[in-house]
Amino acid sequence: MSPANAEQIVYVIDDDEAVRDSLQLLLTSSGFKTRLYADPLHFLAERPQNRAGCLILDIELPAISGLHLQEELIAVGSTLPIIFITGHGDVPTAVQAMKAGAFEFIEKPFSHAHLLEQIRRAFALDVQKRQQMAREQMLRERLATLTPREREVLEHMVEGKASKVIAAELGLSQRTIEIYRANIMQKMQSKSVAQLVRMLSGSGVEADQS
Amino acid sequence: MSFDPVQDSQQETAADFDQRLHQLNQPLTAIGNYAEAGCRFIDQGLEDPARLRQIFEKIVQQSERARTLAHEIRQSAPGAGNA
Repeated sequence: MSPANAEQIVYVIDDDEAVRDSLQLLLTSSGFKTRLYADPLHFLAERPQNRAGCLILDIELPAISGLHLQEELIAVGSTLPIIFITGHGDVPTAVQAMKAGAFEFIEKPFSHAHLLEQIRRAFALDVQKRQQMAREQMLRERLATLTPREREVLEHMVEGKASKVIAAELGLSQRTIEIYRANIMQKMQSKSVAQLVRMLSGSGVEADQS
Repeated sequence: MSFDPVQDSQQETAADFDQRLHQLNQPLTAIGNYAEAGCRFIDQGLEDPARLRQIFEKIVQQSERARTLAHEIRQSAPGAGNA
């Protein structure tokens, strides 16, 4: 995973030299940093899961289809938004790409204003995704510091149970549960149960995972 | 299943024609990108004639590429009666 503050770059994969070169000039003149690839396999070999920004991908690449590359990227954990570029309005392929999570689909020759707007939108989504991943990572790290017993108490807590109820269910004294609660709140760096519930619910991280 | 050589060759030509049309998009896309980049550089106050000349040269190259492709398309167009 790339850090939330990683520099955003527009990655371009297109087998046509002139399209690549002209896109680089256009994007540079618009203030974007770019990296160009003729061969998608070179991009795949460079740990794409660590990349930030977005990917402009020609859907009809000779070595590997754009759709296949999209699959590969998802498989290695890349969250880079993909803007597909296509020559003809290949509707079935477009539908397939969008279903698999493509960010946008643009037909060649395209309007520059539209392309640049889509890149800006893709960058915003990319930041959001990486911030979300960073939050989940932090949450996992905090959860990992809990003892098995604390994790058990946490699960009851986020269900909204009072200490008295948890104590009865786990066969422990209320005083002991209070101590667990205090430790959990400290380790999770949470000020309230409500905050703890919010942290866990929006995150996709389970309280009982180790 | 019947084999119809006339039908098959017509389909091949149509697919080939489509592919060539698609190829024409590459230089057209590049020309648009180069020209747009050039405009932006000028708007940003770039006063490097050599750099701008380079961009114009690239546009010329791509328009030549497009012309060649257009010529090939005309030659191979279905019903063009080419030998």
